[in-house]
Amino acid sequence: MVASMAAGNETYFYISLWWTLGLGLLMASWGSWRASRGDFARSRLAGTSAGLLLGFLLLFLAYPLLRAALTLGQDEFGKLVPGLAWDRLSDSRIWSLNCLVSLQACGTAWNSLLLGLISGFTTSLLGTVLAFTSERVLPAFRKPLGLFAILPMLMPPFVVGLGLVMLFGRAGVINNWLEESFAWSMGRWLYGLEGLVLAQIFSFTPIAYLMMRGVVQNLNPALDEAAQSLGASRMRILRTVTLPMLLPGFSNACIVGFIESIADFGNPLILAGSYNVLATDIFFSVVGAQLDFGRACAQALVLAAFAMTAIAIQSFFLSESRHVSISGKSDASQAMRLPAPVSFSLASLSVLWIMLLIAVYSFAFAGGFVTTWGRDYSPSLEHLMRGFAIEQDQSNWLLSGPAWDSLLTTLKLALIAAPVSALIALLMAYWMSRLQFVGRSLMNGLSVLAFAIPGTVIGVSYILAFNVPPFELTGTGLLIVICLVVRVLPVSIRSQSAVIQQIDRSLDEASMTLGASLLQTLAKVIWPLIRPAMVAALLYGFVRAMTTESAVIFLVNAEYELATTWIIGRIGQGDYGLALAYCSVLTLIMTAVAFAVQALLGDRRQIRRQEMAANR
Amino acid sequence: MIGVEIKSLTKAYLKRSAPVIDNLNLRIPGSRVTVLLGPSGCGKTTLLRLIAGLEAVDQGCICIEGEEVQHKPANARGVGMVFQNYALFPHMTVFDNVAYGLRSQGIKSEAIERRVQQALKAVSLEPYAQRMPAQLSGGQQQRVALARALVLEPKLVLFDEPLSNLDTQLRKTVRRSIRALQESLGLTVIYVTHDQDEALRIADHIVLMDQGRIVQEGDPSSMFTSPASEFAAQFMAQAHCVDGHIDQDHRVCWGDLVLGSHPGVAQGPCRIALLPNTWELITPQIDVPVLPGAMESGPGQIQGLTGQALVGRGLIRGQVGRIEFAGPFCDLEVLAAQIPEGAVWVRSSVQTFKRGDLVELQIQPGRWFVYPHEPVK
Repeated sequence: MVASMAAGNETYFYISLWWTLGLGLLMASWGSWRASRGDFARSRLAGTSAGLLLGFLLLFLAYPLLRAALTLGQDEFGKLVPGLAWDRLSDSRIWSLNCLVSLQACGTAWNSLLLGLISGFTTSLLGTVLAFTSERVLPAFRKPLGLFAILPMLMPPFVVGLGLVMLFGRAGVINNWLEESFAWSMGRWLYGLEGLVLAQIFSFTPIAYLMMRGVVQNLNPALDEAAQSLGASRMRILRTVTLPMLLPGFSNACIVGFIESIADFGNPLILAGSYNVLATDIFFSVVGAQLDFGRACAQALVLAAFAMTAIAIQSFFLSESRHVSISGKSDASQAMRLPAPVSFSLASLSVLWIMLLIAVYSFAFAGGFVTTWGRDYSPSLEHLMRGFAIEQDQSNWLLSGPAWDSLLTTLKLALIAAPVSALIALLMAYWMSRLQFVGRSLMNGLSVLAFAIPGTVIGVSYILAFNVPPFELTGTGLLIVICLVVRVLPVSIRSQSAVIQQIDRSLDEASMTLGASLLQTLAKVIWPLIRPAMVAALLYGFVRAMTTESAVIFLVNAEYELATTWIIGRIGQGDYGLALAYCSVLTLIMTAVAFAVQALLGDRRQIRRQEMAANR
Repeated sequence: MIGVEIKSLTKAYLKRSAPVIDNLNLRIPGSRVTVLLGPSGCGKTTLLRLIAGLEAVDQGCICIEGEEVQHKPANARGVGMVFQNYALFPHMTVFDNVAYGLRSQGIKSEAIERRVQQALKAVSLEPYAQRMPAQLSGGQQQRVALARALVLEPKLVLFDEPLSNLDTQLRKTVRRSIRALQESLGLTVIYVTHDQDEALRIADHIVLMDQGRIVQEGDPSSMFTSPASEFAAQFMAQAHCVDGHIDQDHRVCWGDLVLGSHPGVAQGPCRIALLPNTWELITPQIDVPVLPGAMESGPGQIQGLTGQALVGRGLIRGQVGRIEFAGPFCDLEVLAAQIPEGAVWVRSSVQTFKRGDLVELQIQPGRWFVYPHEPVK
């Protein structure tokens, strides 16, 4: 949208490409030189590629953020004005506390903070309830809950928000029913903090559940037994042993939930109403009439600072929890059964949550397949046909529906971005966990930065950095792919690092002493052992690239329209039917791809891992 | 013939921290087994990894058969290595594991087939070629690792605590098969362990290390019989070290107890290393009077015997305290007033002692060592 205003001149693009390649060459030769001095286990290949990757991160992560920080101090003509940065950062629209004393709105920073705190805490609490239910009360819940935890990842990020609109919006089923039966209108309550919290609970509880399930599984049952043998009642054990042991993991889940919440873009876009939050306000500052980059930068930096602070606190908690967690489970010990009233409440809450979740999802998808929501509920494929029409023109089939372009572009870019990011993540995870080199901590720091920075911040920084020479790349598919890669990379790196660290270092070393090169070692030893993780990374990359909206919304234009941004456009016009039909199509595609990748590349035999364990 | 020569080698893991290997010089004989021995953290494994090329050298050089290799990556050094956990590739069969190095070199498949079979035969694992590593026992895995290293005919084979994951019985068999293979192939072997018994049994040459430096090196028997320092005596011969002094008559005294004379050592405080066999138990002699009341006076408090009377004959009289049965022999705690610590542990092949028995000890010449007293660091 915004990018289209910078009509890219092809010459500029090629000049920028040369600059980029030059930088790559510089970093590659730096890596090669370091390898000759003893870094990277003396492998020039490793040095060159690590140099290239470091250059990639510097150019496409550090540089745009610096550029955004610089813009903060510049007026609209690009001149640095002293004091301007401070004025923008301390803007009352960001920090005002008016809502406490009057009916006026509070600043976006406070709004984001409040939303993040409520959502982070609530999702973690609900996640803990679900984790206890599936692990300790109703083991039969493990599968459906696991499925419900993964499903949202295969859906575009607005499904929950739209589902809530279908239920509770002005034309929503429940609102209509209340109005018709009791002539009572619930009004616009959904559009504001309450609706946002509700939507985020549905969106982020699955992640909290997955995290808390790991925490509950890692509780050492021997401690329960010890407490029982010391004569404690079940309730007392729950209160004095189990819950305190959960605390580090719970805090961690809260922080992750907080970061997810403040970086969330899809839900606020639909439901925020007048409750402005940073993530969407950054976007609204630069689209349309406002075009206030200074203000966008100020908000972006505040948002980034929130996220970085949360990450810093998280790493503190993680290092703390290392003292608390007990390694290794004793095989004989049995986890204590929870006291009956607790079990009952946990189970009822979980059942309620699952039912609500099913309701939200089914109403969301139903919204795409009825004639007019709120008035005519007759089933119809009209929205789908409208978006994805196929016409026959003489002998050619024509994809004449307006949704086709964005869908095909998204598929194309996601199919490029997913393998690229999985490969980059593999290399970076390997270099960082196995090799010694100058710049390793820089690389690690950049990957943490990429993890913490919310997508909107990346998006606005990209506009500022890549709309002007020397790296004028906006409006190109290349920049969108790069942006997708940067967004997918940190999670891929984390998951692959975790797997690589499980593989004993001596396997690589044995390979090296047997005369294999680094490339041979990677291909023949590391690759087969991390293949399942690679499959997961590929899938995650594809799905994330298909569904990401916050960062790329700044970069799309008429030529490169993406599915998510196109859907946002439809939502903006109130065309929920087509938006939801499109969401269903996307969900269907991603589920199909997930199954296909799993079938083609997946290695479900657990024997590998068992062998690895036995070999130690 | 020199197998490996190491000159002024220095390695620190973190800059500005104390080096793990500190200006180390060492010559390792060819076609022999050299054991790097020392407590954990002494730098022996780091030294091995530096030779293998798995760690980068800070300073100094490493020559393998006269060729400087410190600038070469691990895969270009032609050095075989057997890891503590064997590091077998879990996703490959035994055959593929052994063939791995040959395939990396791009050797023809018929040749690979032949050489792998030969290597598996050498470690008597031919029937297991198509098994996965997880299906093998610890000792078999160990032999696969050995075959995998040897099939490349390396100039030098490095062993990093290869027996530490095996049980006692297997250790003996695997140790002897390693030694037999080494002798039949004339291999140069560097072998890292922290177990002095294993070192004494397998080595031609022992290099004792502590805190990144070489404390002493030599053949096993000389290392055992004449340890060069208190640390060496403690580590090689399991000596018990105590504070003593040398009087004006050059006598070595532990408290009031005179162990013997040691001419040529300056008067003053010293350290005495007592080997487990410093004390010899001798059957109590009837002519030595056992005074009444000796039994009643409690452990370590035997009264009524004057030290002088016994020391003249090299004898200490005491009483058996706790007994540790250890199979072919037993260790006795002998409580005696003349011993400054009140008791010593004595090894005895006679198993008939009971708690409270009266015994006599004799100090054996040459089974204790005197070292200068070093100020506490």
